Amino acid sequence: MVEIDDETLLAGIAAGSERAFEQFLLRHVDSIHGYTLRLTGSRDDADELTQETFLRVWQRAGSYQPGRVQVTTWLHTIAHHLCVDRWRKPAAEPHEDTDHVPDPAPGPAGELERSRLAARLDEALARLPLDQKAALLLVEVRGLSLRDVAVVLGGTLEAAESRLARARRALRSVLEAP
Amino acid sequence: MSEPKDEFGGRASNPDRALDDWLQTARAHQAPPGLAAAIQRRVAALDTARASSDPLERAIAWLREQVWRPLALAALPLLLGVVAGWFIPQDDDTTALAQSLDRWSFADAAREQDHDTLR
Repeated sequence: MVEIDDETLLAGIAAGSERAFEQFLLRHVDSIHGYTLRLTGSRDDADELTQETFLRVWQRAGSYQPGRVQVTTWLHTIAHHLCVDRWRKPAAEPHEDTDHVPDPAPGPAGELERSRLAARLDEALARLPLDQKAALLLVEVRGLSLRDVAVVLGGTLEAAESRLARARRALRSVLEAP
Repeated sequence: MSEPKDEFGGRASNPDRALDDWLQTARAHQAPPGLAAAIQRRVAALDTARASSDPLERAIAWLREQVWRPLALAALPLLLGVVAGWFIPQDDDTTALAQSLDRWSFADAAREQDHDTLR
């Protein structure tokens, strides 16, 4: 089956096609949920923010301008702005839900140690400022370029670079700590 | 490529490997099953709301909200007729015609009464 590109799907969504929306949703729901989950640290918030992101896509697909930014950048910008709005709310959820689940039956010592490191990385990520966390997730997890990160975070290329460097340093210090 | 092994033969602890694993887990994240369906339901609901933004449908919905609204709408032409009749000017010719009609009706009624009496 020929895969329809994101821009064509967005054009379809703008025209009111629910089939185009379904394809777009299934293609991107995992990445947006993963991004919002890591950014907020709350599964409930991630579920809600993912829903809101795709509702915005449905309502505003017509505002996407092809060629200006990539669809994934546009999509993550929507999700990021919603996360920032949520972040500004006073009663933020505690950072307790992430993908890291401790192994119920620890295996060899190496596995156990990696599991412990993963837990420390989760904690370190949760402690990072939102913009640094976002820069790290967008580049290292979602594979966006620094230019795209600058678009999503709404700053300069240098600022995005600096945020990413600081986030990497923070994680590196966790890994190097005894 | 062979991986470094620990003393038990398992993969040795390695911070870089831990970071790679951690990133890999994040990349392979899957949204909860049912989330996509929930989003589609919300979009369908939005679509219904958008459809009901049609003026005729909104008017029908407004009428159905309260019982008195369709009744008032049905009585409106009658009320308009009464109001219009109240304000229509009565000129002399109209008055004379009405009086003549009244007289003829009275005369007819009286004749019928006489006829019944004679019988």
